[in-house]
Amino acid sequence: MLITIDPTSEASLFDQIAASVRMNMATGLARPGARLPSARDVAASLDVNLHTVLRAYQILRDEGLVDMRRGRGAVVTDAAAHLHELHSELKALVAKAQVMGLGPDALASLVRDVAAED
Amino acid sequence: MNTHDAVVRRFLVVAVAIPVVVVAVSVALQLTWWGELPDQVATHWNAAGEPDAFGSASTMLISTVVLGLLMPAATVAVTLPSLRRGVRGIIFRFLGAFSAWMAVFGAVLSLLLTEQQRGIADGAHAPNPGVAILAALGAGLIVGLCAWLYQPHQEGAAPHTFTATDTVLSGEQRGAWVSTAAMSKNFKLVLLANALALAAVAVLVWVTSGMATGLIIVGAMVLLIVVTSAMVAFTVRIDARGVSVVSAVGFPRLHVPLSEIESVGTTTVNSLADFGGFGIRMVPGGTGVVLRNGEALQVVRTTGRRFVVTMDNAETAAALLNTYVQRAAHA
Repeated sequence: MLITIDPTSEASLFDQIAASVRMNMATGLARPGARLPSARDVAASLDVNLHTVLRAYQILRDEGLVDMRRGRGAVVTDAAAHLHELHSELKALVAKAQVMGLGPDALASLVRDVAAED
Repeated sequence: MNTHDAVVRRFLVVAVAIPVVVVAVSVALQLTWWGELPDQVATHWNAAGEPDAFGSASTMLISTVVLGLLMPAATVAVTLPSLRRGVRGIIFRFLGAFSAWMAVFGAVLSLLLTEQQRGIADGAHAPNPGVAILAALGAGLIVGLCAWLYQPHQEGAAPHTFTATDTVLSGEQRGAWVSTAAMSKNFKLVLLANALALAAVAVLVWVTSGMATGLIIVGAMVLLIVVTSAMVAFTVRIDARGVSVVSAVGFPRLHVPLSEIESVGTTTVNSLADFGGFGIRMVPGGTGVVLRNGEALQVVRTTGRRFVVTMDNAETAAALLNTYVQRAAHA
């Protein structure tokens, strides 16, 4: 699993870590049943506060993407498989938009607008 | 005839044909002496050369087959699939010769031990086995040497190695790679077979030679299980500090700091040809954490030594590590 953050970004570090883990689920690097690295290890590797990582893991737990069990750590749930299924469709969508001259930011705002319609 | 055929064909001759033929001849000869043997033949001797364990003549026949064919069969099972796929290396030539030597040693030893007991009334009067053991060792050595010379030279193909040029981080980004490198199912089966074989030997020795020797082998078995269970799974961690590989049980831990890394890439590993087996392997020119065949991360240290870890998605892991190596070089 590859977790990346950008300290110069405006987004909070815990949101970035959560987004990065989510991306690993989408690409298939983190499959259902896989254990997330310990928050302590991630904090040491990325040189961030332990609570930042724990908060990121809590976000993922609230989304149902990981299961937190005492003694077993954070485990990727079956819900992550749906993200992986979505990934290929998202890639196709991004590619199609690119052909039409629509960048990822414009596409993302379109997606938000469509979601707001319902 | 091209060399590819010769390597496999001659390996089969020394590792399969020779063991089968010598064991068959040994068994056939022992069968012709059946009527001349005592009811209870000596099957084991103490250090002074006096017989101390006895069995029926069939015990000797069974041990001829087991001693002569078990090791060659195990060797062929492990090596032949790789050889057939076209993997080459000096280890295969050695294992072929080793099979021939094991089979000849086992077949000749039991043949001579049986021959010495023809015509005696009681196995308790069996002569000292020293000469038979030396003769069997000598015969095994000669045949093993011939088997080595008979096989063509094998040069391992250069592995498909790529040096990472990709970088995955931009600007101020930081990244951490964490993954599990686990042993393949085949390797686990080999480990299990090893443990079971050793357990069987322990029971056999316990029954035939007493508790003290049995306990030594049980001790060896426990040690083997402890050592190998530490090799089943490792956590691979890559970050700004370098790469670390830690066993799932916490030990052993290997670490290559960023400052000691010259370049990073991926390679393809054949455990036998490249590292002579699996687990943590030290070979001339490098160290490998070898848990399966195939894709691996390869780090070249500033000393020129390689550090190789078999793992999935090695390309992405290599790209991250390369990013940090490049950053350090330009800092």
